[in-house]
Amino acid sequence: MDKLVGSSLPFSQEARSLLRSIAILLIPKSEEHELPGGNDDAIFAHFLELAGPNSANINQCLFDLQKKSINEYDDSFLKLQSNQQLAMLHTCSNLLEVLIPNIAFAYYQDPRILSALSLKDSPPFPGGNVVEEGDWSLLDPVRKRKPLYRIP
Amino acid sequence: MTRDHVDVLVIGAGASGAAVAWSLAETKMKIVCLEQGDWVNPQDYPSAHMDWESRWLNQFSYDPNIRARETDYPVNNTDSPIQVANFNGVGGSTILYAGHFPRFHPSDFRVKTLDGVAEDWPIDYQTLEHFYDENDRMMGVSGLQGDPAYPPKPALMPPVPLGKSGTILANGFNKLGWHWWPSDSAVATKQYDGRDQCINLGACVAGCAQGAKASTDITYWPHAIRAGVELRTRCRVREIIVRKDGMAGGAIYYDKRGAERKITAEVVILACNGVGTPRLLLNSKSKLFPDGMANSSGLVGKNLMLHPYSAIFARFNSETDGARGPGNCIWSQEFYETDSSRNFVRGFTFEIARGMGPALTVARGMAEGRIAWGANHHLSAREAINRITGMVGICEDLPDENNQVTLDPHLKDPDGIPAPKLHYVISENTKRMLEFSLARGAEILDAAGGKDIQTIAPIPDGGWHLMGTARMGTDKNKSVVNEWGRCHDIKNLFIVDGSIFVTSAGVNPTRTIQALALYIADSIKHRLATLFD
Repeated sequence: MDKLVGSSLPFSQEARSLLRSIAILLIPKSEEHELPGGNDDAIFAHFLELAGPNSANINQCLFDLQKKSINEYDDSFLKLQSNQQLAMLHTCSNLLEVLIPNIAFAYYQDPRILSALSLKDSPPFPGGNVVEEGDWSLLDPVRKRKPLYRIP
Repeated sequence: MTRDHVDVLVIGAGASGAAVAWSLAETKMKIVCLEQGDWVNPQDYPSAHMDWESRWLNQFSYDPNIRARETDYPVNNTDSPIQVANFNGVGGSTILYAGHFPRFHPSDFRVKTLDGVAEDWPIDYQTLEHFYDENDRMMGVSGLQGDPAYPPKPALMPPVPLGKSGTILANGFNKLGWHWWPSDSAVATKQYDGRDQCINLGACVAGCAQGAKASTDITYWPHAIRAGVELRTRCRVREIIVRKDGMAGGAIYYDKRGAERKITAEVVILACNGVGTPRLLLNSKSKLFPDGMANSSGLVGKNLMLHPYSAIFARFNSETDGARGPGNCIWSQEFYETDSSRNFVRGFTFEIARGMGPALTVARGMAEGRIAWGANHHLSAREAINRITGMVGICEDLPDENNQVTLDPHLKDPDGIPAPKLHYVISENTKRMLEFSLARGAEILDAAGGKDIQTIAPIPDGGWHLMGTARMGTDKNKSVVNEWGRCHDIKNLFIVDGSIFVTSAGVNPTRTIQALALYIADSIKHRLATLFD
């Protein structure tokens, strides 16, 4: 637990283990949709990169989580049953607040996930996107209106 | 040592600095523009990268405090519910703007006369009309003629596509019988002046890698440089020099290596935006001007206007555009002009935002509890991605001397120059307008078939429009510059950015900022022989 704060790296080995266990709780693997979980290696590496600038805050939240786990279950968060982990996580709003954006951005920018969701799995440029022109006759009732603007 | 002397010194290479430099170039005067930032390489824009959504919120964030580049200056926003948004570089904030390009309306210049609030402008719509047209040609504007919310105006290119999101919401507006129209956009919908056409990257506010969006680094600047203007990047101005006769003498600046430099000039033009310009004037203290330059009225930095935004979004059963296509789509000015039956004066524009990318959709949804984490995550995420659309309401902000930019006593930029601090409170009139816009926006989304309506007001990081802090007027006790942009106190010092706005209107300001810059340049050109009289 001491290794969670004061490390020269953004996240210690213990912190990374905790974060990986939380990532899969937040976004589980889905057999039905054939999707990996938030702890997938590539996704988790991106997650760590995104979370790095906020590491001080995250490490403090992880320290608090571990402390709480030991107080309530007399054991590390990593060794709890998943239902116990989920219950604990629900009470850690500060931790969720900082982790959720990072895990969402890491997960939903992975080309495998985007492809599985039938979304564009490459950068917007240079391929671009198709946007339908639409039916401009929808404007017909607006064209019939008198001027809305005031002349001073 | 070689003397660095020019005829005209322009400070700032953004929307207005580019326009004024280009216009003055035909005089063949020696013109130098100092810009604190760099040229941006389009390949660096987020949309050229797989992780474009997170790059947009970090390296290309419109919040200078998050972006925190060497070329940025920090802003103390702690005394404001709305944070400053900008970009420092060639092109200025047009690099990261959406390219929403509405004009002001004739009534926007006569607020006091028509509605009994604020002040009238010393110029009117007709004064600027020719310069709006000229600016439209330089920037390349798409749109559709015939909008009943405006006097007739040209459209150079076809409008941006309606798309799925526009179609959904246009049907909502039509059910209510309310105005809507395709937005005027500074986006090339066909090839224009060497720029390629829009291919719907959908990341306009993170910089356009395609070059279809009209940022001034690719519109005005290539023309201005070819015409002889010298643009120096990584030059951060610390202060304007005062000559013994009380006129502006040039500027002291720091170059890329942090070395102090001096440039002298016959004419100095400020184009640093509604926060950067008062910051520079207030930092230019001297025995002659102990309260900062051009500040005999005491109004430098005061009357800051920001355009508080409301945001109203909903989830739909049918697919929306998500992040595909320009963020600009359609607008509504049903509630633009003052209506005595409402509990506020003036009004606002609704601007339809097509949607968000998948990562931002899920991040926001999870943070707000609308998308589950845990076992039900995948199902609820699928129900939100490319299923959300809505609008923002851009509310007219009235001038108030208590809303101001001052200098922070402690915070400094990387060159040690004092940073700006905002003191800003949303007025009761604007609060009522925001509430009204949220209610009307919800009605539109409901009529369009939306569910789970989400609202925000104000958008906290939405200080995109910085106006009013060195305002224009004929009375030197009630304004900083005269009716053609010259400082009342210093006859060779001009301001051409949003600082000189008298009122804010309820639309995005860039098109008017640039029309004003062209108008001021034209005024200078017509008065060259008597410019300092």
